[in-house]
Amino acid sequence: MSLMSWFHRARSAGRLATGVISRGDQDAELDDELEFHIAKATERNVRRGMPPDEARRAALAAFGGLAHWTEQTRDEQRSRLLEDFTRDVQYGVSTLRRNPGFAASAVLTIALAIAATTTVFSFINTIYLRPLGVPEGERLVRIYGADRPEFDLQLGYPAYQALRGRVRSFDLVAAHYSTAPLYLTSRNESAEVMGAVVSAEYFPMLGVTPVVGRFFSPDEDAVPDRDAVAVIGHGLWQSRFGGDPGIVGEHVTINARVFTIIGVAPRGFEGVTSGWVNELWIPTMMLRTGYRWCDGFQRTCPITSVMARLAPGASLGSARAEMAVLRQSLLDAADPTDSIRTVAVTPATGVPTWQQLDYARLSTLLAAIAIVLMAVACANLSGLLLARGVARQRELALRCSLGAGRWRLARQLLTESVIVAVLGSAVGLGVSLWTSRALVGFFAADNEGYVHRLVVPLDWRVAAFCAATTIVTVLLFGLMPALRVSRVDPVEALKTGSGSPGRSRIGAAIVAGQMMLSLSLLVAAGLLTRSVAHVMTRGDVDSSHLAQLRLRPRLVGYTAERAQAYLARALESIRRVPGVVDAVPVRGSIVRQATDEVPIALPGEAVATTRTKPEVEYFDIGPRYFATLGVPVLAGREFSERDTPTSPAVAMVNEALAQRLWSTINVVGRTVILGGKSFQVVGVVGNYRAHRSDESPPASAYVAFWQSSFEPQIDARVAIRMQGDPVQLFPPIRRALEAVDVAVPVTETITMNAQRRATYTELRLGGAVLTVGASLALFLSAVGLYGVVSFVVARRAKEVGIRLAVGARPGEVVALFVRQGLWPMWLGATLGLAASIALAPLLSRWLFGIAPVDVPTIVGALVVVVMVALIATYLPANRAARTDPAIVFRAD
Amino acid sequence: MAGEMLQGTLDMLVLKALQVEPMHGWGITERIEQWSNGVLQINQGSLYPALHRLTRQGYITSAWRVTENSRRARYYALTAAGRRALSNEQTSWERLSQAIDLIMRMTPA
Repeated sequence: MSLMSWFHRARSAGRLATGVISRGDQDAELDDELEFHIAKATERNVRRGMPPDEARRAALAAFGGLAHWTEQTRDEQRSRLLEDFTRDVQYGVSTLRRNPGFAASAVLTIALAIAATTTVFSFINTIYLRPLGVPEGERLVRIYGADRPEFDLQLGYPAYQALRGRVRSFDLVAAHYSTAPLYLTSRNESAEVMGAVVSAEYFPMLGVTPVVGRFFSPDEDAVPDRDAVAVIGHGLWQSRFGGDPGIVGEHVTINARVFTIIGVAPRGFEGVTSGWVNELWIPTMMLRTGYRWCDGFQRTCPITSVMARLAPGASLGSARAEMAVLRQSLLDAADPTDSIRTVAVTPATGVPTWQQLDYARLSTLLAAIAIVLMAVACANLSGLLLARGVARQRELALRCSLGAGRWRLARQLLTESVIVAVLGSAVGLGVSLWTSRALVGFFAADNEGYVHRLVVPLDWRVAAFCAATTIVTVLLFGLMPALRVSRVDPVEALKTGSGSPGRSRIGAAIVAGQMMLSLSLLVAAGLLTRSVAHVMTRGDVDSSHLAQLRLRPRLVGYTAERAQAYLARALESIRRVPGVVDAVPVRGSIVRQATDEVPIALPGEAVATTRTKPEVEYFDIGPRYFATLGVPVLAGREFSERDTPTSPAVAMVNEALAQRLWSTINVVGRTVILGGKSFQVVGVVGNYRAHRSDESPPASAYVAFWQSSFEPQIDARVAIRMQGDPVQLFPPIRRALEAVDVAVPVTETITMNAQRRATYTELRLGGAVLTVGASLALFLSAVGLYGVVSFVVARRAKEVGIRLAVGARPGEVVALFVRQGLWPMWLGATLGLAASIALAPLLSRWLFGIAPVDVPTIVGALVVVVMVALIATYLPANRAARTDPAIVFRAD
Repeated sequence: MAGEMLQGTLDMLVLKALQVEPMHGWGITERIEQWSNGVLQINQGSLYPALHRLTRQGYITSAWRVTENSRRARYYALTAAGRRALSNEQTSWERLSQAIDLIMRMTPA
């Protein structure tokens, strides 16, 4: 589409928009007048022998853009504000179309900044601030015990009873245990479902209504273990029961007990724990079915949390005041071992408090990156706008001398800036919809294989704030040229034809700052990426043929003896599945965390001494565990089938523990006291598990699974080594286990690769975000540098021409500009290096297998920055050197 | 620089063209071309902004009339202020062009 016809269309559109009301006779007259002029010119062309249509075209062409000049002519008139605005927008859009490079850079810069900040702060909003997605969610509060301000402890069922009906600021108080693994058997299918054990007030408090049937009545939540009734989630109803409307009254088995379904929760209702999607609810009176480790009705087993809804007219303040009075009776009802000092009441926003702690470090990192990106983008934008302002100095001076007022010029620049900002914001918001989904994808599964669904809706307040920030930046720097031109004598500006050298110095300073941030981010990204590589591949064992699952006979009420017999048979049946190399029982998951810490001592020593750290990481592992993992035993042997409850108690230690206790690894045959019980050391393994770089390898002790006295063997995870892809073997393994005992839940089936990925979600996400952030920052800096060098080159075009004319080779000219253009990069890189080293300690908590100051990473980052800077300076310098000197001189 | 001239010059030429009789925009274009033997081609698009500027400054007025071929056209005419402005412009232009002329005629001694 030619500019001309575009102008025509834009103008027609403008007319339609501004319409009948504002368009005066003046405009019609102007159109008529110009039409008359064109007609006369056409007549003359025809007289000179042109065909009529060509004659008119030629006449229009001679006019040099009819509509454009129409607009200019109208500028000379006083017209109304709205119409001025429409025209400014049209003119602005057309100016931007003539400078696609500037327009694209500016829009892209804003879009990236908006996308990054909106995504990050929407995420943080979801974690900390968003009320639950239920009617009047802002009235809900969480009530928990605290020993430190930021740490929450569940109050438990007795405290809920002590609180119920005692606080007038609450109209409803409910107890809930919302991370209950419920093993559901129905219609010949068994699977673990993330369920919740909730009191009768739960659903009324949340203000939700069932789509089918009803929720729990107070009577059904009155007598322990009497009423086996259940409510199912909408998703489960659809997937497992085909949306059967006659579902009410159906019998299902939950944790080996028969329940009757009484209702279906509405679509989209996921419980009160964001990210943990509940799909099945049973009343608190069935707590002993939902939780089997201790009796949830006792104060020593505080498994339930307490929530409440503020009564109409009540405030958080009034609720806290009333709670202060109840403090002592609540503390008396809470677990005495939990060292609760106060009872806290906080709005039920974001994810639960204990998870907010998990997210704190990640949120900080994300926010920091977003802010850095925003700063880089704003700097870039200001650089772009300043350079452009200088380039337009002449145009503005000319328009000024044509009689355009300062306000008129300012308004024009303002409009252009706003167009850029609005376009960029729109693109950025679109991108952030996608990036939010990508971000949430990192949390889709945890390291036990549980599915999580974290909903991160775009937070419009955040988006508006970010958009406002960029618009202010754009306005500030976009207007500068107009303010400048009003201070400058137009004649001077026209004469010299270029801006002051000061502008390029500001531009260079901006570029140096950007390069500094880019290099720092790049170094951090490199460190985290290498940490991820370390924990995913080199730092631990080869995990591609390993998987893990969990057998939970305790969940269905098996006694210790029955469970142990079952476990032995289950392990045997797994080993017989074709493709399985070995299956070994283990308490805790394979990757990273220890399940327990136990007091450790040497014979004749008190448990806590100054010579030894009193506690040590502790693992129960089965026979051939290290062979299964592929970890070599450094000395002695590992556990075998002969290590039974009746044989002598044996233990293994890792290198770190051996060194700490005895300063040698030749420790086979020595005795160690774990948790007050004597074990003979039979073997030593290396420090094979990944650990943070700022910590020494953890000291670990291993006890034979069947000899463990810390917990009877009624619940176990099984580590399985197999040939080929572990996922392929899950179905036959499950079938084999069903053949042993169909009633026992088989859960948390996960490949070790998946377990590893989920264990290091935070690290992987941090690495990915830093890498993206560093790339964006570097890209933006390169754009900035390119702009500055282009500007310098343009300003010195005449000098280049002279140099070339007197015989300089183009290569020499390129080298000159590249040398001069690179100094802001060197300055920025030097500052960036200093910043990287200074800030390195902040990263140490994230690093595995790499030091915070890592020379190869720094050198690598430096090389990338230098290469990018070279390209960004070479391109404009080269272009200048290849121009014909004659053209440069003619241009003036 | 062919075909272009400084802003002030165009205004002066427009005033000069209108000194003889009121004319429409097209007529002014033709008149200047004709008087300069085709050397000065008015950038046609800058003519109308100039006309409006001059109108606003009070140097010319305009009115819609019917042309000899019975078409509507806006005719511009000099005001008294316009005449004064023209004569001022003319004086200073003559002084300037003589000065330039003198310089250009200098021969290296």
